[in-house]
This record gives sequence, structure tokens and C-alpha cells, in this order.
Amino acid sequence: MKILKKIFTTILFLGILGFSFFKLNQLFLNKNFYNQGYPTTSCYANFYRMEKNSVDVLFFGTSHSVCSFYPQELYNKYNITSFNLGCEQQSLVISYYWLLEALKYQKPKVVVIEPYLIFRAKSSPLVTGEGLIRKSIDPMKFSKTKFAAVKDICAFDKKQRFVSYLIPSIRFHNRWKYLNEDDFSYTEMIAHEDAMGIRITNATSKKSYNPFNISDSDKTADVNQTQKEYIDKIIDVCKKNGIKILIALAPCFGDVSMYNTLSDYSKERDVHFVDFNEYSIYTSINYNVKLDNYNDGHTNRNGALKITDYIGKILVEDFGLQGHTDEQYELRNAYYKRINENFDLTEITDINTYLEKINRERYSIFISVKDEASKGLSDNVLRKLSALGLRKSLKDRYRSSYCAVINGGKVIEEKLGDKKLSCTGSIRNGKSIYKIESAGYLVGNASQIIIDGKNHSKNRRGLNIVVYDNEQKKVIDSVCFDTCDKKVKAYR
Amino acid sequence: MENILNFISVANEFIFRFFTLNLTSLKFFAILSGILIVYYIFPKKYRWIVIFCANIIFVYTISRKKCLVIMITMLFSIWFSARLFEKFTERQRIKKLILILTLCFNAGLLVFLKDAVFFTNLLRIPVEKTHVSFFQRLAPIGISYWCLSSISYLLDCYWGTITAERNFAKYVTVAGFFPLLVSGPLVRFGDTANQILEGNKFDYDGFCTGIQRIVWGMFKKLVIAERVAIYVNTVYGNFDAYKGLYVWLAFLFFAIQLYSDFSGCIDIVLGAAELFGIKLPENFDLPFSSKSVSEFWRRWHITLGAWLRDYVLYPLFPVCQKRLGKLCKRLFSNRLAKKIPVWCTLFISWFLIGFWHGGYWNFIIGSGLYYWALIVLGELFEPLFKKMISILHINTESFSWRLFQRVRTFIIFMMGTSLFRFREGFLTSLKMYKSAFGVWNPWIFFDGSIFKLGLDAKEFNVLIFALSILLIVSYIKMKTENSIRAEIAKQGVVFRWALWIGLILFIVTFGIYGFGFNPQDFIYGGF
Repeated sequence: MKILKKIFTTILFLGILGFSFFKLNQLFLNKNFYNQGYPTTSCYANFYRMEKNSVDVLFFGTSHSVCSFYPQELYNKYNITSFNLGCEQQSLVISYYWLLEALKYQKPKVVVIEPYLIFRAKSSPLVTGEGLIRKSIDPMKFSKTKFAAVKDICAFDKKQRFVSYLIPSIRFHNRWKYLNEDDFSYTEMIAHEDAMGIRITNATSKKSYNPFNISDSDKTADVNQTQKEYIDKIIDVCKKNGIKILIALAPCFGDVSMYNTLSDYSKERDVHFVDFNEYSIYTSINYNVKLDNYNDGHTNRNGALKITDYIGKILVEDFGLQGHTDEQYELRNAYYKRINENFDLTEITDINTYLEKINRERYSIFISVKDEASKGLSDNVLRKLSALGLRKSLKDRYRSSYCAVINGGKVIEEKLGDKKLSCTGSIRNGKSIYKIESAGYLVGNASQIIIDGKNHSKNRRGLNIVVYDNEQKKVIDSVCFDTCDKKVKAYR
Repeated sequence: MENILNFISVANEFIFRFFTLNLTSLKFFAILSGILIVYYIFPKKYRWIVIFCANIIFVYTISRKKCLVIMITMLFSIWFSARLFEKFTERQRIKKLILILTLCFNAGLLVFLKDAVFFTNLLRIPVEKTHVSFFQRLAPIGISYWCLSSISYLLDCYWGTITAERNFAKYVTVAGFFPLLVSGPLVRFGDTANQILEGNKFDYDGFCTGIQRIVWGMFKKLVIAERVAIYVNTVYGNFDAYKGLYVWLAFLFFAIQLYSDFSGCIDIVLGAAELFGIKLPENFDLPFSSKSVSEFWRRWHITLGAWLRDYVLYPLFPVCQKRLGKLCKRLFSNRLAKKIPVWCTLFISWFLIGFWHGGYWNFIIGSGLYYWALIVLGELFEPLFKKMISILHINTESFSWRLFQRVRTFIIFMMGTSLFRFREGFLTSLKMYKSAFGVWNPWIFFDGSIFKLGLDAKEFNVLIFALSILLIVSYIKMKTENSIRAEIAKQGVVFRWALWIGLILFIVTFGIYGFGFNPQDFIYGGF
């Protein structure tokens, strides 16, 4: 009996220790949820939640793929169901193993490979460092595929240790210094939908690029042999499973030698190839790097819409893919729309439209006046402010101080007066703390909107507005409308 | 045949890679678990064979073939000589001759393999011409520990305090007990032979306390020692650049590092031995609670001090007294005449303590002659100190006086660590002292400068918290007769489990290990 008790006690103790250790590992794991630039953790978690055999197209590749191929857009326009399994600097070794993993759950008709890394770091087989490799591999479920992937990774990069993929705390325990709210909300964050792996931005690049002509040169580029070996493997697996392949090089300031190499390779392997850096395609989709890229090699939202549309046409016309409705995509469209609305907001310069667009329950809105904000206020603007639920009118309140907070469609603070004003409180059930200060011209001439310790106010004359998205848990826009002037210019 | 050879080669490489480990590595614990399983599967009577095999594989894989041969040769000479003593019980001269020859052979090899550099430096022979590093590579792991243990065995057999072991394999099992090979403690054959050779029944409580001891050792090593090492390495690695309080803090941290590193390692070794049901002697007894340098060395590296006391100091003292006593009586006062032979014997002992740490003057001075000088000066000026205490009406029983003595002893040790650290020479340590005393820069604690040397504010917070835990545990240990583990065992199950699970998770979280981090070898593993 005593022995049984000891065995039971030991098992219980080890069970509790093991569970605590598992939770600790989960806490330390580097996570990239839907509210971050490259939401890899959410992307792969959402992929596993997709209905079996419901995805027709899979995208693999680097950040170029993540920035350029929008699955929801493809569905909205062509009713094609797709998923982007790319990741920043996704090595083709990783693409290969993610393809094997994906095939356990889906039966895609087409696989689109973005092969940029084949031209990078010829001396380094993986091309990518451990940090980025882990973004793709850590969210993969434990299986033979994952073990094989890790084995290969460790064989190519001797610095990496197999055991650290099994026990991530070996690699990540130093993250204790950087743990944040999202790390402690793993279950909730992982359950949240994402935009199927894509990165959306509306920033623009100031650089220019001249697309090449096929006839410019017949030079070819050197390739990374390991990457080539794995693109071969990807094609082999696809062919074995009857999946069509499209190699697509996104706008990345590519040159004719890259085109020649990939074109020759595609012919050799008998697969489709499209290069968005090549003149005829570049011009046919009306691409303009200055407006459609957000930096050297990455497309922004405008660019991605053009690229995705072109890919859609290829899928329909060349691959004969037929669209069909899918409830999952219908539901996800709401989230996709919300993200797009957030980006739209940052482009609005008209105060009336802006006040209309921020009137959403998911936003927390912070308003603070600096200097003077009443002279240029039209009745229309006052009505829009009133529609937000604000009750104190700024009309004829020359150089008055004013601050207000609207959270979830309700005004939670509003102050108007001739002295310096301030309000402090919290949103999201106390998880984010704000402090607002407003001082008219004669009582301090300042505006501050501090959220979680950071001042987001533009601190300019007029209405300083900060919009915080409670779903994304971050400030999505900060603008000042100079309502002292009749023109009511927006400053960002 | 080729397949078999291939298999042996692969197995050999696997074992080598598996054993190339330090005491805090996952590999060490994996292999320890394997040995434990086999150990407890074997019948009690034959369990020593498992340890014997583990010892051989451990030495072979860490130090390779040549070293194993050297180790076996040395151990065999000791074992064989001890057996010969029994044959020549009545013939003292032959016994003495055998003893001297065996001692010379073993001690000579120890010095030759480990400390030859001392003599080449002394004779100013260029290192390239001496192949010193080649011989150093031949030194089997833990030679300083098992060689001294074996010498004590030889002397004990010679004096007849223990009987010689008849079975050589059993002798190797005890003398080369693998957990002891990395950094001791120095054990005596008579104290451990029975525990290791008779085999132990699985004791659940003992097993648990063994694991607890290992966890505590890991805490000291990974959370404290490795953390302060970051700061210490930064300052000592570029000592010309850092002045004033930067250096004082490095002195303090290096003292903490030495203690938490060495005692942490000993905790792991003792805990590992407890898993086999073997109790090894303690090597530390709250050294920083010492009120004098002599007391400090009775509490620090206890087994080395005791070894030198029993096998060097006591046998040597009568000789020194006989040779020097008469001469001193003629030349000095009565008090000094009595003291000088003692000091001479102490000089030899302290020199050997320093020399044991390595054949460099920094070790000989930093962990030997520095303390000898302080002890001698303390005794020399004892009447003066007593007079001062009397004039100043100091209550030597008061808390403040005891605290002063403890702080003074700690500062002496702390200052000594700088002498110990620099192999480049004594002058380098003096430069460090000059840097420490030369500049007064207290603002580094207030303007954030202190956080730019590898340990940021968060790391400092963790360090302070960990040191507080160490201090509390030490205080409880000082106040209670039982071990802290026994005190915890008296508590309720929820508290106990929360405490141990909390400590393990604390180590996992705040330990300095893993990616991009090369663990410091245990400092005393080098000796």
C-alpha cells in the first residue's frame, strides 16, 4: 500500500511539474499573432482549423509571397479558396515540409511557389536564420513531418539543436524579459481569426524601378543548390499528387538573369512561371513600384491587389480552376474588411468622412484639443461629433481646452473648459491605461494622448484624434485636424 | 566484421558525444538516469559493477584512451603498493621504501601532467620547447581529486588505519567514482568504500532528497554563478577600461561566482551520489559566515583542507618543530620560537593548497600564500589587536562585532579572488587594485551605467532576488541543526510541492543556459 501511495504521489508530482513545464514552454515560445505584421503563429493555427479538403490553392514562399498573394481577395473576386502558408524568408526547405504537412489536411489543386530565396546566400543551405525558421516550424503540429523537418534543419545548420525544437524553453527562456499581454493570452489569441497568413500595409516606397525586357540579356543567375533541391522536391510531391504548380516571382526589383534562370527551370520541369518584374506583365497590370511597393521588395495593399488579381486570372484561365462558395471564406471576409477599414482610415484627410469611419464599436477614440479648435468647425462636423455620442459642443469655444474618450461606442469621459484639462482611465477592462491632457492656447497650449505609456498625440493646433483598435490591441491612427482653420487640414 | 567495426566506431562516437558534457547539461542527466536505471535493475550484490563500468566509460570518453591508461596505471600502483604493505607488515623499511616510491611516482605524475608549466615558467623555458600542453592533455579528468584520494588511501593503508582492498576493480570503482571526477569533493576510501561496493537498496526518500539537492545546485550554478559571470567577465576581460566601483562590484561578484559555482557543482555531485544511496562528505559549511580566515578555510573546500591537515600538516609539523625549534629558541622570544615552526608548516601547506589549484603563481598566491600571510600577520599582531579591543571597550560578544568580523573575512576573501583570477601575473592584479582604489564613481549606480555591462536592470533584479533566496536559505541553515531539505520535508504537501516546482520553473526561466550561450565550465572543474 505504501509503495502504491509513493508511486501515485510521484506520478502526480511529475504530472503537475510536466503540465507547468508545458505551459511555461508555451509562454516562452516566440509568437506572432494576428495583430502583428507577419502573423505566422495565427496563420498556421488557422490553417489547421480549416475544413478538410476545402482549400484549392496553397501559396508558399518568403515575405514577398506573404505581402503579395491575398487569399481572401482571390475568393472575393474569383471564388477560389486558397491559403497563404508563406512566411518571412521562408526557406524552400521549410516550404517543402509545410507542403507535406498541408497535404495531410487539404487536397489543393494548385500550389504557387514564390522562389525568391533560390537566388540568396549561395553558401548557406537554409539561407534563413533560426529565428525565422522557427516562425514556421514551431507552430507545426508534432508529427513525423515535423521531426524530419527539424532533422534536416539541424543537419543544414549545425548551430541549431534538435532538442530545442522539442523543448522550446531552451531557445526562448530568455524571453522572460519581453513577455507581454499576448503571451499570457495564448488560447484567446490563437483562437482569433487572421487574414490567412498575409501581411497588409498601405505604406509606399519612394524608390523607382524599371522592369526588364526578356530580350535584355540571356544571362542566368547563380542559384542556391539546396534551395533548388527542395524546389525540385516540392514539384515532385505536387506531381505525385496531381497538383499543378505555378512559380511566381513577385515584384522584388528582380533582373533578367533571375527571369532566365527560372524560365529555363520551369521549362525543364514543365511548370508554369510568371515574373512580375518583367516588362510585359509589369505594365499589363499597371504596376508602379512607387505606389504599389512599401519598400524595395515588398508589395503594399495596392500592389497585392494587382498581383492577386493577375494570379486569379491565371488560375482560372490557364489552370481551369473553378470557383465555388465556401462559408469559411464568407465568414472570414468580415475580419478582412475590418483590417482594410483600419488601413483606409489612415488615408482619410476629410474630417467628415473620418468621423463617420471611426464610429465603430471596436474602436476606442481619444480626442484632445491643442491651442484652438472651434473656429473652423462646421455644423456638419459638429453633427458628426455628436453622432459619436459627444455631448459638449465646441462651437464658439474659442481657445478652450477639450478632451474626450469614446470606448465601444460609448463616451466614457468628456471635458470642456477654459483651464487645462486631463482625464485618466483604462480601456479593454483595465488592460490599457490612458492619460489625456488638453490645454488651450492660454492655459498651456498642449495636447497629450498617452496610451500604455506612449504619447500618440500629434500635438498640433486643433482636434488631435487617436484611434485605438480594441481587436488589434494597438493604435491604428493618429491624426490632427486643424479645426481652427476653415480648410480643416489633416496632419499625420 | 566490417559492420561490427562500423558499429563500434558509431557507438564510440555516440558515447563520446554523449559524455562530452558538463554537470548542468541535459546529456549529463540523461546518462545519469540511464546509469541509475541499470544500477537498480542489477542485483544489489553486483551494483558496484555498474558504477565500475560507468567510471571507465566516463574517463575513457572524456579523456580518451591514453588518459585512461595513465589513470589505471596510477591507480594500480597505489592499489598494488597497498597490497604489498600487508605482505611486509613486519618489514618497516621495505614498506617505507614502497610508500616513498609510490608517492613519488603518483605525486610526480600529478605534478608533471598538471603543473609542469610552473617549473618551465620558473626555469624560463619557452613553452613551445617543452610540450607542456601535450602533457596537460594527457591528464585524465579529475586527476587532482582521485590522485589525492588515492594518496590518502595509500597513507591510511601504510599507517594501518584501513585495510587494503583486495579486488582492483572494486578499488577503481571507489577511487574513480564518476560523479566525483569533475570537481570533487575529495573523499577517503574508508568513508565511502562500503556505501559504493555493497550496493544500496532503492530509498525513495533519499532519492527525492538527492534530486532536491541537484535542483538546488542547478539554481546556484545557472541562476547565480552564470549570471554574475557575465558582469565579471566583462570587467576582468577589459580591466584597463573599468575603474572604481565597477571593479569593486566585479570583486564582489567574482567572490559570489566562485562560491555559487563551486558549491553548486558540489551540490549536484552530492545529489547525484545520493541517487545511488551514497552519502559523500560535505565540502562547504556556510563559508561566508566565518569570522576569521582560518575559520573560512575550515568551511570552504572542507575536504581539501582536511586532507592537507591530515596528510601534510600533521605529519610535517613534528619534523619542522624538531628541525627549527632549537634554532628559533636561540634567535627569538619564547612566543615566536613556538610559533615559527607552526608558520613554516603552514607555509608548506598553504603553498600546496595554492599549487594544487594549478602551477601558476596566481593560484599559489591567490588561494595559498595570501591566506598564509594573513594568518601569520593575524597571529603576529594578536596582542596588539587584543589591546586595541580592550582600549576601545569593544564587546566581542555583540552582534555588531561578529558582523564586523564576518564582513572583514568576506572582504579579505573578495580581495584575494583578484589575485586568484589573473594568470597573467601578480602585477595585473595590482593594476586591478589600483583601478579599484583610484576612482570614486558612485553615480554608476544611479545613471544606469552599471546596467551596460551585460546585466541590465531586469537581470539585476533577478540576481538580487536569487541572492536573497540564497541568503535566507543560508540563514535558516545557520539557525537550524537539520538540513534545509529536512525542514522543508516537515511542511505540508502543497507548500512543499509548490516550493520545489516553483524552484525548478524559476531555474528554467531565469537560468543562463541554452541558445547562444556557452556555459562556463565549473571553475573548480579545471583543478
